[in-house]
Amino acid sequence: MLSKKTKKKFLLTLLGSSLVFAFFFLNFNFYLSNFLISNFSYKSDYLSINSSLKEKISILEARIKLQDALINENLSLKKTLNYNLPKSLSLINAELVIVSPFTFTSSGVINKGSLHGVRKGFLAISPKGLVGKVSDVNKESSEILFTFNPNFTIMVFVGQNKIPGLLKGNGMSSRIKYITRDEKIVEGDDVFIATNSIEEYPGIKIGEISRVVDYEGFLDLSIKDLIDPRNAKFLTVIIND
Amino acid sequence: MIRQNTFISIFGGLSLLLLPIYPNSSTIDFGGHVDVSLVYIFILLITGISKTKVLIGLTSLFFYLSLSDSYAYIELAVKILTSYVFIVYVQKFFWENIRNDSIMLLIFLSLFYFVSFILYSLLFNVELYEYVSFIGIPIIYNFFISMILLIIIKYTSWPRAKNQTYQF
Repeated sequence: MLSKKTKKKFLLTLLGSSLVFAFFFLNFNFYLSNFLISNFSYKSDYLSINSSLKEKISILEARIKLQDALINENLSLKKTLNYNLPKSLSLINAELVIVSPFTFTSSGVINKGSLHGVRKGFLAISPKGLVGKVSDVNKESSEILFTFNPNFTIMVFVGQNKIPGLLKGNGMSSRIKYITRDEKIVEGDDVFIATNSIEEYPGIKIGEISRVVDYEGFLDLSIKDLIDPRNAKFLTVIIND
Repeated sequence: MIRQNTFISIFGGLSLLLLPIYPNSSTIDFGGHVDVSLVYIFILLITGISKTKVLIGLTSLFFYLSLSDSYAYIELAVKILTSYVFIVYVQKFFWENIRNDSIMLLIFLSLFYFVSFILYSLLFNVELYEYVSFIGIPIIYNFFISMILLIIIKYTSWPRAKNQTYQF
């Protein structure tokens, strides 16, 4: 049996932890800092004009930063509109809210789920490139496997001839495998995301071939310009129904 | 003897555990370059091994594992193996001071990344240049973050009673 003291400690800890979680989760620290600046900041009498001006400057600077963040978000969303997608594909914008802190097997969670139309296997992209693939879907959130995760595998097209291959993660990066050695692929060839058929070819470039190695009868292709998915903030999920 | 406040410890511990998973929380993850679990394990080991600390370390590892996928078990196994080798074959042979702690940190990180390289090169055919370019920045971040935390936790706190008998 737990003693009264232990119960009290346990309850206090639980209460405190929930408060901290809510505090950061709802961004109260941001609102609180603004409130503290506007109401409780030190004001001396003889420097009151100076301090009030400084206060106004800091508020304006904060607003500019917020506006900058919104501009960046809008720019990134605007870039996704430039993709020439076929009618069978559509886009959902989401935010990467959780990233697992493991080094080689990192994955993330986005704030869109089955209620928004996300399904397992859909791809997630950012304006800079491919971020990952949806591996698990809940009602209001989904898990994204990053491109370097060993469980990550998608089909890609290489070069102008649209040679199909499998892009597979290996814990550090992704490589294209299972392209037979008789295919003509050279360094600098573009790599595009593929869907189930060439007719649905969306034309989203994810990188360029940087190295071609002959490995056990197949070509082993390295790609440059793949982004670090852990730094992505806003993602776009490609809906392929 | 200074009594530690259990409430603050648990409260701080939970915050340290939870906050790094939020990518924009401005904590110690630094855009995914820091492996938080690795840093925590090292800090727990270097500040003295006890059952509670081992339990905390394992809890944090399994919590972060729950956010990853099946291949994360490889990384988990490497982390546990590194910790075991570090406790048995490394930590016992160093006198506790800041220079030796930094050497031990380097050994700990090198051990983890070396074992990981062997496993990943065997399982996924990862090449050395690829591996080095991937871990280059994380190893620097992990080292400096661990050192900063170590200095804050170990070298700017009150000495514990058991340390006083042989260190002061």
